[in-house]
Amino acid sequence: MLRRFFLVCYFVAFSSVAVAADDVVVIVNQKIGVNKMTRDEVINVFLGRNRQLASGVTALPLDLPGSSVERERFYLQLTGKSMNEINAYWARLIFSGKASPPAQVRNQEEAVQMVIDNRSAVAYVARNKVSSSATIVYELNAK
Amino acid sequence: MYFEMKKIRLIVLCVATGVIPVAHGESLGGLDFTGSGFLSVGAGAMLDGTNGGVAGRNCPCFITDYAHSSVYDGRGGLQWKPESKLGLQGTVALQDSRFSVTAQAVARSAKSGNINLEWLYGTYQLTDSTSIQVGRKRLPMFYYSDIQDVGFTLPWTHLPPQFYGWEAVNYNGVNLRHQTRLGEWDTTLNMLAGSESINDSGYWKIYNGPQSHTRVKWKNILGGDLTLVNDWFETRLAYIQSGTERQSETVWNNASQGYVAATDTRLTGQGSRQNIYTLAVNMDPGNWLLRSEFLYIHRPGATYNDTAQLAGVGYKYGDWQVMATVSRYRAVAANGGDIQGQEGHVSRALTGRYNLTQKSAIKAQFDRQKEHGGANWAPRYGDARLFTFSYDVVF
Repeated sequence: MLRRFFLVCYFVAFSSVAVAADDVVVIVNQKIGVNKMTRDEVINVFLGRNRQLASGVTALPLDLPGSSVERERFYLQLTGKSMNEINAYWARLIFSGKASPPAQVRNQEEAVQMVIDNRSAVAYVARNKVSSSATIVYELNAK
Repeated sequence: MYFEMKKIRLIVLCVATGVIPVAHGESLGGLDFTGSGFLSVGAGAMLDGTNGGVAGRNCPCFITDYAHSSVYDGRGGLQWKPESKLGLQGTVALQDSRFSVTAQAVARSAKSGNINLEWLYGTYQLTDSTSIQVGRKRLPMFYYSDIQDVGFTLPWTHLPPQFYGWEAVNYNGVNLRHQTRLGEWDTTLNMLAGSESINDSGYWKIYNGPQSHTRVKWKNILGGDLTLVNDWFETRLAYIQSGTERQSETVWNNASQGYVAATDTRLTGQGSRQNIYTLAVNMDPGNWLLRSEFLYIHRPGATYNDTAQLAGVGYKYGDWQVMATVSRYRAVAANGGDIQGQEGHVSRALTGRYNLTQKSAIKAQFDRQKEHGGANWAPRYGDARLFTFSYDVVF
């Protein structure tokens, strides 16, 4: 009985680490024609290198506000770079006329709503903010 | 100097208090407006070096920006004039259209705060991965050329002067840019054509004296650059060719310690062609930062070709970063040029950076410049040791 109790505890603890509610995930509109994205594809979309998805749709990436913890975690886990480095990267592209940064939304709720309303929108939010009307295409903990 | 300091203080105050709005976009009457800007407040102190008068300057002298004639000289105390600058950029786009117009104005303390419109171009997005731009832009000779004024994006207080020091940094013309993915490589190809005309060259004030006047033309500019990125590895190749002309009215004469009419045939309108080759290989593995660039300029009708190299290694630790850099310039005699007349310099720099916020940083840098010119090379700016620091922000 005791062994069974510890086993349950182990699985609860393990699953809470593996799929934490505040993990950052990348979501898209269900009609975008993409069910999965690779790390390189997510980097390309959010760093403005190549925004054309495998389905042929040109992605419209959305950024959370600069003060957002999820934004900092997203870029750090995705690229290994701090927000200072990401901002320096974008300054380089903005002031040389090479690319535009992702459009900025006010909060995670707005990001989710824009993804639901806009076929080409791509956003990152905490897992517990994801609506069933959006598709998770990349998990930052995934290898 | 008093008014320049007042200007700088006003700018800092405006940014800090939000009088200059933090960037951003607005829509009005079918047009989308976006704005952004950058500010660098820099100062430096000459520590020591070769004493003497050179081209009307009291040296030791350290040139931080040839194109804009930014020079730290032998006066004592902090010098604020050479490197502070404010840039504002605005873009207007027709809503639901592929066309936009961008302008970037820069005020430099080196030019007494006068505002110059340095970028003004229209962009038409031909496809999602291809765009054409027409207007005035930065000449993309080197890796950091496009953002040479945006201190926040640079790992130094100023670009390595032995590498980033040329008479033309902008051009008027057209460029076509295409992005694609080749296997594992994110690839950007840019092709350009145009010309540049400078009425009062800052670059030639370095050599001919601060009060000299030299007109410079780069005609029939044609070239392109190719950038390949794979995760933390990035390489960039560029080729640019043009015809060059320059005409000086007066030049500094060391013998008479005054300005005289230019008689050197190289300064009186004789044209020459140039073929510019550059290569950059940069890496950012983990916390490391590796920078390298190479330049060769072939001038078929001249007695000297240009070579320059840059190498830097840095390490990031949290919000801190340290970087050591070496840059070297050397003219190489050709077509009967005097080997003892070759110009040459080497600079070594040690830089520390601390990120204050997500969009601002402070930096401190120690530079050591050594003269490596031939015995007949004049003017000689000599050796110099310089300490500089800066506050850089983008908004």
